[in-house]
Amino acid sequence: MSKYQYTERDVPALLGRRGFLKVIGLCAVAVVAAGAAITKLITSRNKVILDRQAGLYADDKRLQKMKLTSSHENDVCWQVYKDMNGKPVEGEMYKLNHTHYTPRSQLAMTEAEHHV
Amino acid sequence: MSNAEMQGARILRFHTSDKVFHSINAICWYALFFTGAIVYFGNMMGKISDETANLLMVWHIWLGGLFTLNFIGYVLFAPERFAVTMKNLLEWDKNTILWFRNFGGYPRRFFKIPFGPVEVPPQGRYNGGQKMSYLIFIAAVVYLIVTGWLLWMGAPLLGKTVFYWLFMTHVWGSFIVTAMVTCAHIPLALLSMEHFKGIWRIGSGDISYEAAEHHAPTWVQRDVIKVVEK
Repeated sequence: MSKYQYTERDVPALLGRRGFLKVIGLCAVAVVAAGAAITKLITSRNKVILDRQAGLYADDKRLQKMKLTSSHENDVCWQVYKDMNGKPVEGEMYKLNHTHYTPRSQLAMTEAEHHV
Repeated sequence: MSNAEMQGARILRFHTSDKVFHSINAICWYALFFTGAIVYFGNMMGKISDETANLLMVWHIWLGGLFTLNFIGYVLFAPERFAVTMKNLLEWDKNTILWFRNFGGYPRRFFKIPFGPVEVPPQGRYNGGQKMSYLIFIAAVVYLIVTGWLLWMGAPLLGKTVFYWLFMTHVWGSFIVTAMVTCAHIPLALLSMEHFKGIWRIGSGDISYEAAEHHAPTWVQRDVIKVVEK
């Protein structure tokens, strides 16, 4: 014996067999269209990444010719060390010139503060 | 259905699928609200470290996955219950509209505001206010699921403006609906403990005939039928 003696009447299904097939068909079309659009977007996005990569390699080549591959080879950096009476990777210089890595992969919209 | 015959009877109002969907949806909703709000306001005020914010967002995303599966599961595995809910929510008859003349008599009852007529027109499974708010809640669930996934997985594909507005409507839309749930849905649900226990208790989601007759006389008269023992 169940705890209740009354229940409510069922309502006709929202979709019949034909309706269900129509909805599934429309969903399939939507998925294919969206898939094609997203693939196109990703392809064009990859082109931007590849161009950027090529640009960075070109910059590296250029800087290697100028003997400027590391920050400690940079005259401007040396001038800063000289002006502030410091040395590379030393106390205050380390604090001022370096940052810490923090994963922010899930924080696209938040302007998180950088820890100096 | 004769009223005398139904005195003292129990009516099954919330099926297991309704209860499971409602419970997971409610728990996930508040967990998502707190994880999201802490990150949003914590970052805005600079009161939260990046590590904590990132961890909370990982939780937010996992909870969002569960929230999505819960809704899809309800629609796919209990379509007959989803159909009952939607049919009753979308059926706006004259008495549904007339409910808004006095907001179910609640302003008069709680705040002594003589708003509209004293009599409340008989309501179906849901009253006018429930129909309006539940439709908003369902739309909000769908909108938050869609925008949540777009913000997480579709971020590189969206333009900055689209991303910004999806984010703002995701955040503030959820805050507004959370305020509605906290300030109206929960207090008003507590007015009928029969319904409250029916949806939350572990076990059968039945309510008394008296509670059903008081809150939803049209539903009792039109949609409630005797269980046929097999």
